[in-house]
Amino acid sequence: MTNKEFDIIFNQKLHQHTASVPNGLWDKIALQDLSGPKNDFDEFIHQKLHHHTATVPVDFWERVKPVAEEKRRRFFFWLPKKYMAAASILLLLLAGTTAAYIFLNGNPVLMEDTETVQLPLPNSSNTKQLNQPIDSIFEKTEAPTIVENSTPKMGMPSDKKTTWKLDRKNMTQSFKQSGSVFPFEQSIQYKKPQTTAASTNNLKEEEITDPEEAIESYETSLKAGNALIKQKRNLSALFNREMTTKNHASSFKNVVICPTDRKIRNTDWDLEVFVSPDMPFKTVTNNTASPQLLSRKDSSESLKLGFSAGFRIVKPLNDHFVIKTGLQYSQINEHFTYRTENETRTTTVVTVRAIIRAPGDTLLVRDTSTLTQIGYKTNTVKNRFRSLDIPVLASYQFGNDDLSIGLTAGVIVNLSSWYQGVILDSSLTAVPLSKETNMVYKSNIGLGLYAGLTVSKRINYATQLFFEPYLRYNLSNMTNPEAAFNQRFSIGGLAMGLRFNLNKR
Amino acid sequence: MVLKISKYYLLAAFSLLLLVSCNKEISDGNFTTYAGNDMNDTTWSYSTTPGLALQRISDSASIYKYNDTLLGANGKTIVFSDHFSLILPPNAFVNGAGAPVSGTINIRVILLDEKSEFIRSIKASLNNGNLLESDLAFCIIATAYGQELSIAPGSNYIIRVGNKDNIVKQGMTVYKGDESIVYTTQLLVDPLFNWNENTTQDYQQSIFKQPGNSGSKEIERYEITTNKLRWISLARPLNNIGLQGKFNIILPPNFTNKNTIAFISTDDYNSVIQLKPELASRSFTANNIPLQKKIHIVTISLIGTQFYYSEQSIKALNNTPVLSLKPQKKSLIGIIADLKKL
Repeated sequence: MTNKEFDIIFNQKLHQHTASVPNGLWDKIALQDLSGPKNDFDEFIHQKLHHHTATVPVDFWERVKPVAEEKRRRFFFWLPKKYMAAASILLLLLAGTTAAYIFLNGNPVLMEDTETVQLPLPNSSNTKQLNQPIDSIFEKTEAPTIVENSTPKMGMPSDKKTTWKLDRKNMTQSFKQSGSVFPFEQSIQYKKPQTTAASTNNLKEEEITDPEEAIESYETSLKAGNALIKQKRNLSALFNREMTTKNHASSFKNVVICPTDRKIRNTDWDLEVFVSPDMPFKTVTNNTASPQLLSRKDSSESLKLGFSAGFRIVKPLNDHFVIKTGLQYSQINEHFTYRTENETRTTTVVTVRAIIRAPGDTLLVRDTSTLTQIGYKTNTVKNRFRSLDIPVLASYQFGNDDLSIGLTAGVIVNLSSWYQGVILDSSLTAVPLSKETNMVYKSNIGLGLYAGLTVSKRINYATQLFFEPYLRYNLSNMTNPEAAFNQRFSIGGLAMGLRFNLNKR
Repeated sequence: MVLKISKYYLLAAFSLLLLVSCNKEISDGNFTTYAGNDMNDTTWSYSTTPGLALQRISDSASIYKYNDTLLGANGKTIVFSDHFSLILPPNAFVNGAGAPVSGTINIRVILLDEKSEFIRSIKASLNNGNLLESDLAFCIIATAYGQELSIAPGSNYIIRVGNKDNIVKQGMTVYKGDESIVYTTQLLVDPLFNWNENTTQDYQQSIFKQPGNSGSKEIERYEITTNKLRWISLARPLNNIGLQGKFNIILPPNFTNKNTIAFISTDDYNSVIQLKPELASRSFTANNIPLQKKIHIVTISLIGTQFYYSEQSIKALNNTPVLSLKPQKKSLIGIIADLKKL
């Protein structure tokens, strides 16, 4: 159910509802010093609505919640119920306090980047009719429908207008970022008649009850994201209102503030842990090697799936731009097949011989011996090219809080590389390759370029699952200049991992 | 949340450990035997022609102890040693076509004095299966222009040969070596070789005596006047050797009649017996083995370029019908050295 639908239903149900002001209420209010901030708003609300009960349909709260916001705030419901309850209470308290603050303090400030929807005032006949709620629904654009709630006692001059400003930034920002579920900046202004001037300190009930002399100046401006709340209004508006269930709910609906200074201090930190299957691509060029060596090398070596694993610290610079660095281990696997000649295989055999000693005298002799055969072995060795690297990456992300896509690029700084396996020497003989005997490959392969496309999906409040197909292109050869050939690897992979929010923002 | 992150870390670390640890360093490799390699040939040959390996054993192990030249037109008395000399008259040699050879003639002599030398030349001391005790045996080969020569008709030459004791043993007679192969300049292995007692006038045997050193006995030599070259033995039948019987040896499948020779030598007699292949049982056997005498069993194999050798000493076979030997790799020099100990 959208706000518009909710307000329509609400208007229809409570359109004719009136409630009398308890005796002595206005006196109590008049006795209080209303010039400064008051903290007894909640008490006031409590007194008025303490005994009020209303039946709420089972699916009421589900229907009143806007679909769009529900999606944006879905992570909230991943929390345990007790946390949800505590958060709800905290939210209510915060809303109540904020409402009081709004009512009793500050001057509204209009945001610049807003769209104004002006609602035409209802007919003057209606405005002059006492004890008649004025609930009008006007809709000029596709913007959310605004329902203005007025009390029957409230004077409604013809030139008064109610202005709702749609804060588009708030609409696109997540709840987490904006701190408010309500994307509107409200500005309700009732222009005072020139003939009447009243201050908040000398309001009298007679003046308020006279619609012609009613002086209302109601201006509320909310900038939820920066907690800038300014309001400027004449308290006579408060006095002219009947505190009905309707306008009470309206107040709660329209005023939700979650102040934050996150953008100022930017304490966001994320941690990415990932693992990636890698498919290497090899480039070999001749240096001083013989054609036979290159041919044999080519036929002997076949690249296999490798992998990378590591972690990255992510620092969001703003809503779209992040930088990353960390540590990662990569391993390229290669099958090296070669033949070793003149290999012998010895097999234990049991032979049975029938020896004829004389006609009719046959002796069976069982003998255990060994059978030695000669041949060649086709050996397959796993060559491993390992490296330890530091990625220095930058990523530009776009999307929403639930699903985002980013372009990631940067450099991979090699810390160390080492190898294991066998390699062909100049005589085409396979010789072992290790850290100690390696004369062919470098121990540091320098820099590599990295480019990837990151797709991340939120899986709970502080965790995102991400997939990052990437390509790593090494800028230099992994072989020493003295080697008979030059060899370089490029890697394509699919990094899969989790991104944890470290500060639980 | 920290706990959850820790779990993720542990899971990732464990997965990484699995990825790294499950890699196998080196595969065992697929073994493929060489086709046609001698080592992989475990079949036995039904051919009477000896295998190439046996010929190589003979060529490697047997040696031409003496070697000299002469002019065929002039003749020559060749004294190879105190124990062996040849008296060759002029124009004594003809070639294969029967033409006299007056030019340079090469004379080579193989002397079989010890048991080891019989084995190295793959010659047994048997006369139609009967055991012989040999004093000496030798092979004289004359070649010219790459052809083997023979003695001209009507000519004779004299051989004077003696043993280390410088005596002529009693009962030693001439046995001629009958070969089944075509004569060539190369001494070929002949599986049908046999020592046949001389019953013709081709070999005139006598005793040549010469004064010894002062105070010592006369030196006795066997003197044979003949018109035949090639194999000649001075031997006697070995009759009083006790019970004889059939005996087999079996070897691992790699050792076949293509690459292995097997001999039994008697410790007390200068006599060696070759064990011939028995195809039915894939073994080596001989029938007239002294069962009550101390013997040595030896095998020499050549597979590829590798020699194998096995030796077993038996005090008396008695009723032992079969023995299994396991040849081991050994160098030719080592084999010859071991054979000298027989």
